[in-house]
Amino acid sequence: MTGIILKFIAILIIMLILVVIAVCWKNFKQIKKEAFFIVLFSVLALLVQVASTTLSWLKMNNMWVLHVYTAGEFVLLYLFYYQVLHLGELKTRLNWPLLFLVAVFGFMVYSSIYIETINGFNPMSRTLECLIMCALSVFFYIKEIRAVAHFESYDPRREGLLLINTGILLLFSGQFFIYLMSNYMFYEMDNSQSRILWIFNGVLNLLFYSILIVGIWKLASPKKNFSGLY
Amino acid sequence: MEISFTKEELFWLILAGSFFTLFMSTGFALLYFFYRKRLTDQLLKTSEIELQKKSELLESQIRGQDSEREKIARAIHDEISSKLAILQISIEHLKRINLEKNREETDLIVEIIEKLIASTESISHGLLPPDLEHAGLISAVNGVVEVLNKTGELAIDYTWIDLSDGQHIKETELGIYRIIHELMHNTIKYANARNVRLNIELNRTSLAISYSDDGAGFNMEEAMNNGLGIRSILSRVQFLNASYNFHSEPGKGMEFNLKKIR
Repeated sequence: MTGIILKFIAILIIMLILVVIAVCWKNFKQIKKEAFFIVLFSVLALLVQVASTTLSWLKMNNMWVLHVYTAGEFVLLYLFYYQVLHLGELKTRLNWPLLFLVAVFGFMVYSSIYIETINGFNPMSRTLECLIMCALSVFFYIKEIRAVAHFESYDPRREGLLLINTGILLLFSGQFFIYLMSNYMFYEMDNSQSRILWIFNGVLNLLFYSILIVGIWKLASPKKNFSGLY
Repeated sequence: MEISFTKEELFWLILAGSFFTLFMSTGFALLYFFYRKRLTDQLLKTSEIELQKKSELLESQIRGQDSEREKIARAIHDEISSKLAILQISIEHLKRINLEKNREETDLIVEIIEKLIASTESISHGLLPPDLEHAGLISAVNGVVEVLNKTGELAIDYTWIDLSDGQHIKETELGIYRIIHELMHNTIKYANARNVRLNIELNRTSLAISYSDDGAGFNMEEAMNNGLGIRSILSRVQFLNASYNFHSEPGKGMEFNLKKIR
């Protein structure tokens, strides 16, 4: 039963990612400034989800896909935050926010090859990614609240970015324990128990992509009409 | 000391841990949205008070401006125009008495006085259109439309429905007349439009106008920040306490709708 639910969730996730890509495609002109990397991330997520689902149905090991996905997802989401949080402004003589990205990416590749096995889970990379994404997400909230408090000009498009940010926080905070303990789940736990946890992870993904759709939709914002009732 | 968990305990630990972190982040996000809404409401309240003060100031400015314009228009009409007319008659009389003597000079003076009378009338009508006072908004706008259509530069398709039973509210109609005037001014000066559609609907309870052109259009945000004309239109709308809808995009003309409950 849990196996069927997992397969159903995997298909639902692919469908939701397709909707995300369709919404991005339709509104690309309006969203490309802030969410270009989210568009790339959605394409990567689709490719990875299709590849891992296909490999799983073919009863082949699909763990290496997770390693590729983790590194790619981290780079693209980090670049998304780099853009919307203007992390580039923090650079001194060295662009340390970008150096940090390169260092973490390097660690992830090194860890996949030398520390963790490519055909197993990658709890170190994944946990590190979860922590960095949660921190960036909280940083985004702080920056937003400061903008409101200082009465900076109101931009309705920021509502869309806030939703995307909330989706990222919920996904990575919820996934944190699962990926931290993923090797234990795989090797120590009963299949039925670990599947329940993967269903939980799948539901988190469904929630994330649903929020992403609304966020991108809001970011695209309809044509500007000035109207009012004085 | 080594801590060991059974499979069951490990399962519940991971599930509880995941729910806990998810619960914490959801709580954080909800608290954030709640706090942000409270902060926005607070700031909105403060800005509303400021806006109210500004509106009152604006209202008194517009009232003062209109009243001054009316006074100047009446002064021009009653004092200058009438005296110029008397002067013209006097010189015509002088011309008749002196017959051929200084005829060229007197002709020139008469011509100058005629031009002066025309100019003062034009200024006076611009300040307070006489049609607006005597025949109402629809007729006053018609006067402007006829003049502009005659130039051939602009084709104004002007339609109206008047179900007001001759009830005119001078202040409202003057405000709307000035808005239409400003819209036309923008169309002529900036939009390079060929066609304009203007519709006025007057009835006992409401007054609505719809204005559109096929000109160059503009970026609304930029115009709101930099365009004096647009700001002046919106100030008038605010003064009238009317609802409106304004839309324009570069290359796509503009559209303006206004409705005022009388």
